[in-house]
Amino acid sequence: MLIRLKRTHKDAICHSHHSHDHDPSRRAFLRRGLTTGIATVVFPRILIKDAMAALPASCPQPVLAKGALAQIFSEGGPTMGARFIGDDQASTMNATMAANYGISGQANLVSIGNLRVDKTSPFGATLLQGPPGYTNAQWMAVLAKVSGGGHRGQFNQDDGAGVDTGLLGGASPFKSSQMGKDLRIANKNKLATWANGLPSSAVSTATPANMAKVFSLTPAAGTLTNSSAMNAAADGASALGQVLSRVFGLSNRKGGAEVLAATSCGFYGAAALADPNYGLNLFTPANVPALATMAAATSSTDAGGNTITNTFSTQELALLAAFYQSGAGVAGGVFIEYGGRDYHGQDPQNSIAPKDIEEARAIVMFLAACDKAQSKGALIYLSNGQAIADGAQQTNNTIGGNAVTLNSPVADGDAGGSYNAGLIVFYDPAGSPPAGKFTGTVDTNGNVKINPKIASSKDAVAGLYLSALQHIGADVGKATAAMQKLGVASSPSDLMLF
Amino acid sequence: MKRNSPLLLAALLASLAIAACASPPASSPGGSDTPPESEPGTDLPGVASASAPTADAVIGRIRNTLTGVDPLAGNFAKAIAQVKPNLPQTANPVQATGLDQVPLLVYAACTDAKLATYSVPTTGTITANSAALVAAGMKMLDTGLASLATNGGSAGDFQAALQALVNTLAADKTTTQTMTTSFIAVCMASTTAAVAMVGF
Repeated sequence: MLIRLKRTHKDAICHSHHSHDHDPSRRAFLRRGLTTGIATVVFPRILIKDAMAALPASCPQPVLAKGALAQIFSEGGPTMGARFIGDDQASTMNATMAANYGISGQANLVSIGNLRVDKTSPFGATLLQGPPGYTNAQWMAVLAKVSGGGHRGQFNQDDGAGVDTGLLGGASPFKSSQMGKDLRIANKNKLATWANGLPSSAVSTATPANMAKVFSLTPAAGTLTNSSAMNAAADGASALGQVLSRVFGLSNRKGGAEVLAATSCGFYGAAALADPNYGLNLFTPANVPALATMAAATSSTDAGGNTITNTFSTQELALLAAFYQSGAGVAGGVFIEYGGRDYHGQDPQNSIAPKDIEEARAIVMFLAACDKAQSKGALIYLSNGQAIADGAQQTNNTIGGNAVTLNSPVADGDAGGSYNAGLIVFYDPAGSPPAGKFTGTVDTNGNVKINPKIASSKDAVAGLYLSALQHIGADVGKATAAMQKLGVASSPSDLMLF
Repeated sequence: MKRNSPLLLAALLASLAIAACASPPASSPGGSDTPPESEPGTDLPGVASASAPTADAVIGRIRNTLTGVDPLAGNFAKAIAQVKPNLPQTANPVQATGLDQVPLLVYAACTDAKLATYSVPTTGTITANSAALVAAGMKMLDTGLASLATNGGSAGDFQAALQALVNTLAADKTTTQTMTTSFIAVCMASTTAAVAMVGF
């Protein structure tokens, strides 16, 4: 005999889920990805407080879990050897390898944790200059908390060949956050199979205004609505939903309770958006207390203690805020795709150097955001291919408005199989980043030989993500299960990078 | 063989008893705490699964529910451009994400709807116009749900839910609500329910 009892949304979720052996309310919701429902119940603490007051106990409560996760997908085939390399590459560096990589040589290599960069390359010089608002000593202290690694050899499809092989991943709901969703910037190519359908919001161009728009009302509330009216409407919708649930027998239909709860809880979250400044307060660094001073800075100091010009671009400000919100636990991951990175034949001064600087600045923003949020962070950095170089040439460029003379790669031709890597950068505010490692070996010409245990880019991407999630304390088991369900990461321990 | 049968039977019963104690049942009709993870609907023979509305369904239903709104014009069109990629992409109710975006899209459409279309005055007090607001909500539910709101056995419940909403708006001490904010609130509640709280 079946006895039916009147249930709340919470009960329905709990009873429809098999894992009843631990906290049934929030985890059950999270497991279902229903934190999207409270995507908006969030950020500025004062708003959290307000929203919490309105949020029914049956809805998942906001989770502030620190830990930044980001990815940069450099679409095309850049000179990967002129970005991060490992200690093994640095120690065996010779003239041939340096020329193939497009860097000046062993003498100019400097360490960032166990990673190495050419301090005279566009990429290396940008990383070492750091962001506005930091003295050189302060920035070196940040870099001292970095380690890294990568899978070498799997990312060997140049031009358009490999762009849709699933090189973009996702973090939510494996990484818990208040928003319960990721932020995707200019993601144009296919996601990894296991990342399809993960909750996210997307913008085509990274600006604070564009990001804010995703978290605002259209049209602006003005005289049309207010948070009080929105909360009342949410109550009304929930009450109507209860009647409809009875009419359509939702309690007897699998997934019925989930649909009802996600819509209902999401509605309560929408109340916060009635504040026209809500999204702007999230993604405008000047409005984020931890970032405000830095955002106003227009200089930094160099290694000699001299003040140099160092200003933010609009994109950098948006990235800084987005990374910060990920680190602070407000957002899931931040996933950026940079198009047009097929370097072969491109002009070193006017094309290659600015693009390497742009990507290195994004990494600088990531590390600065982790520092400001005092959160662990993991940034995945890869391309679908690689261009081999014919040495480096002197170029004159600017980094954050600071004029510099650099040794920029002279990209020769597509050579995906020569040297390529899917990289990861770890940050730990406590100064104990994991001992990151590289897989695959490199010969005296700098060419990579793949580790046969990580045969495909699918597995390599999975390994990068599992390593990132593990470092920031996210749910690796859940991510592994999602990947394995789709035939990826059958042997996770082989894929981990620390 | 015949002689051993009682022993075999006893052994079989004993092993069944041990098995029953050692592992939880795959499904337990009376105790629904631990149903197996399976595809929607497969564990309830004869009862269909619920579905989540996908992006196109949401947009189409809002258009059907509200008189005078156009997905190609006005605030509704602007909001579609922003929100559509974030609406549910799958009908699987367990996996669907993005239902939280439905009220945001409904809000935009509701700002395009005209009070006059629903015979709701733009001036006067909420209390005085309470009946008109409730009627507007019922009309929206009816339009979206094939007249189910007024003709079904739950008509009184729908009416009561909308009346409670209007009463809350009228009594709001935090913010003085206008007829416009009240109409939009009623519109959002009714339309969101009709679009995304029906399980199909």
